[in-house]
Amino acid sequence: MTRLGHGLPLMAASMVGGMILWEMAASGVSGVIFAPPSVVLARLAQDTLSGVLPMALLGSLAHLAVGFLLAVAVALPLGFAIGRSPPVAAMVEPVMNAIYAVPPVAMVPFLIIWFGLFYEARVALVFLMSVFEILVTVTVGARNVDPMLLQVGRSFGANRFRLVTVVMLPASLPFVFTALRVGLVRAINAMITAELFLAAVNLGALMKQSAQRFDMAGLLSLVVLLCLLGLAAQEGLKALESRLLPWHVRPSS
Amino acid sequence: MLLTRRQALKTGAVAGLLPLVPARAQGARPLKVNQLGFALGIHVPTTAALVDIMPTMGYAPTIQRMDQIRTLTQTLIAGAAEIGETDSITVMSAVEAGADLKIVSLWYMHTSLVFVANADKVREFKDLEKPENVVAVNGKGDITHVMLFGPLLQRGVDVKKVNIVEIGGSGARMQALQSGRVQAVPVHFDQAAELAKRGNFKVLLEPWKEYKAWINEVWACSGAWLKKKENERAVIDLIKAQMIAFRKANADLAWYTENYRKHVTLPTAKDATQESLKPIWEGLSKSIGAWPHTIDMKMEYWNDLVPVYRQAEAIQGKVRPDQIVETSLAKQAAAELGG
Amino acid sequence: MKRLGYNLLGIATALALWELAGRWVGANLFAPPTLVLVEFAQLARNGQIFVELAASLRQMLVGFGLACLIGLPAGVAMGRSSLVDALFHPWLSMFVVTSVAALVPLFVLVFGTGFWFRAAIVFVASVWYVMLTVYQGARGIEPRFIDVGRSFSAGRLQAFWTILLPALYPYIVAAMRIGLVHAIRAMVVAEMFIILGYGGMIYRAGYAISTAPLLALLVTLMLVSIAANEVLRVTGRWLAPWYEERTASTGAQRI
Repeated sequence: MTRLGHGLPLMAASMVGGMILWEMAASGVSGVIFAPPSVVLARLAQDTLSGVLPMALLGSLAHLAVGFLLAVAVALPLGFAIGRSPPVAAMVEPVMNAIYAVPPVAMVPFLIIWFGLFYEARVALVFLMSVFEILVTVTVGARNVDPMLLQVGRSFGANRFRLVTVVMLPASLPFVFTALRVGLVRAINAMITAELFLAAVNLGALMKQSAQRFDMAGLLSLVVLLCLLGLAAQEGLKALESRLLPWHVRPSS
Repeated sequence: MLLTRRQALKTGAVAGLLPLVPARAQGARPLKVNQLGFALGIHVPTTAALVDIMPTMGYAPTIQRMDQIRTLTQTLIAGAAEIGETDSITVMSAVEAGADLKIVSLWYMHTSLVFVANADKVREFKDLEKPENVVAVNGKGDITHVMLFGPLLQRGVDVKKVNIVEIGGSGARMQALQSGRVQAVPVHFDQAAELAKRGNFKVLLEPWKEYKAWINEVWACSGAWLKKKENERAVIDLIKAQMIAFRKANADLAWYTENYRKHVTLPTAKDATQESLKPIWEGLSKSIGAWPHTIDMKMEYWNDLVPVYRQAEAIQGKVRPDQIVETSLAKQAAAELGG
Repeated sequence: MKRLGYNLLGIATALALWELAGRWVGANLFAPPTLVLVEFAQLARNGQIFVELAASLRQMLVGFGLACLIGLPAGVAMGRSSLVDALFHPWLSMFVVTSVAALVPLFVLVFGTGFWFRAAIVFVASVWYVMLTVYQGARGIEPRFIDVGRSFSAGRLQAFWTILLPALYPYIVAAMRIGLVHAIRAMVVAEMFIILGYGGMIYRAGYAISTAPLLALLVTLMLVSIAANEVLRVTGRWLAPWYEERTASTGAQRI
């Protein structure tokens, strides 16, 4: 509680400081190139109240949610399998690392062939960009479950299923949350990448329009919105984690 | 005493300037130029003028390339480049947003962009109204969109019914067409010929036949930069270099082939021969007339196009072309060069 | 030896699937590996690809080096001090979401298209991931270890060297490995925009009708990324073999 108590004013101070720096950086620069936060935030408020941004955001969240949930559904079991079984790991990891290395923008032409230009293709890109991120983290987590715990479980005669559900899953939950967090960050990134590089829709279409008109205040207000979305997603998951796993979330010294 | 001190100061000042003076007198004038990422058949003469001919006229151009026309235009506004390749619509919308830019020359006359359609699905313009036919453009309100928009209006096609999507990147658009995800895309003339070999893809629209002049890529710079006499001189020399290159390109297929192999960014460019290039060269030089003997920037070209830009909502129409287009420098260059 | 067998089995399965898919849709859309291999042989014989790749990687290393130099200490500081955490975490959480492709135009305006443009893009693409990973590690270190150290009257500096750093070591290696993948990808995206270096080659290959050249370049990129990652992993283990064992047995709390 004390942490939050003095944390909030500090966070606020840090935000205000950042805004002042940004305002200074933007002063004297043409509005066709850059815009100060005062103008950008006013624009953000205006477009939010008019309903333009909320509608676009809802559209964007639709493929974000589906792509991300699919990625979680695939990556969690696969991650545990890779983490606990060296043969599976040896088979999957080289291919996984290879695809992980390709920038998503370079994947777009190939996604178009298999999934078209619209909703399915956007879901596919969100899936592709977040699934590897989740896999990598869950794999490490599953691999590092304390062998002593497993030993104890076995000595109490737990079968494989019980070992997984009673011992492994709780022991690796912290990893799962980290994985979800990193995966969600990448999924948000993928959400907007898909809207910009496949058929432009929702927030991506708004971004392209503002850019086309050299409306930098509009463009930056969308960037700020995405940043806020990222912040909210991560804080939300953190809050969920501290409610579900109170024993794990330790105060830092 | 006073005299000697003044003399000393003078000598000192001259000595301080010395390293600069010879550099300006002997060395070439540096020129920071920004150019678009890709160069196709139509871009060859102007690229050759910039890279090969300008140095013989006492200039040392340093060229930066980038992918997006909008960012390129912003670098001109920010002063990160002196002069650059952009397009007419982008310059106009930047000026509407408050930028100080001038169009000083054309990269070429008309455009080599054409619309290619999947001929199994699209036989005539009216077919584009069907909901199952999707048209891909680079971005709404940019050249690829506007060049389709005008002819559609003229032919009485209901543009509201046309299913248009934006896909950035010519490579992705070609993939989309070939995989049947979209039925019509803008590509350059030389790519259209290549596509025709791969399937039933036919040219639906050739803008140069639709308009007196279809202005696409232009040379632009900031108005403040152009006010300096030496910068104005550089622009005139650049236009002269362009016209020299245009005349060579029209007259000499061998020269064109050599420069095509050097400047075109397609992976297959190095394998081009005079025979393989002949149809492209004839198309660009004769049918389209992309490289005029004399660059003549008539205000009427823009006056004809601005209503189309406005109807496609590419610009709002707040500024007049004569506030942006600088026609006198091309005239001056033509007069100096003669012919 | 057995592991290598499974590796090969996995790769062979992936290649077989790719070959089938490639034959199904054709080389114009998705070239099969047999064609890509031919294309790769041609590129390799030409040699241009390695020259461009080496130059691009050199520039990437500067940006990545800076990201480690700044991101590692910053991540540790955030993990160990609630003051630093409160000041910087909100920014970290926001910036980590921004995509490189969206930042590139702004960076061109600030840095031009020279050396520092690429270094800066690589830096911002990797520094947040480096920070986040180390932060997770630094936060997870049991306070009681430090307390034990204190009760043995270890000084702050001594505690850092003898307790914090050894406990952090696996996270530092992991942070660098994760950061490196992001750095290499960002290098390519930045270069695709200014059409220089290896990314420039990929951009140009995108204009070809066949996808074989593009895929050959992407596969080379995969190999480079895997090799670079392997170098980091092996170096990490070679420098301090005992740390990896320690993590494996006690269980690192997070990556």
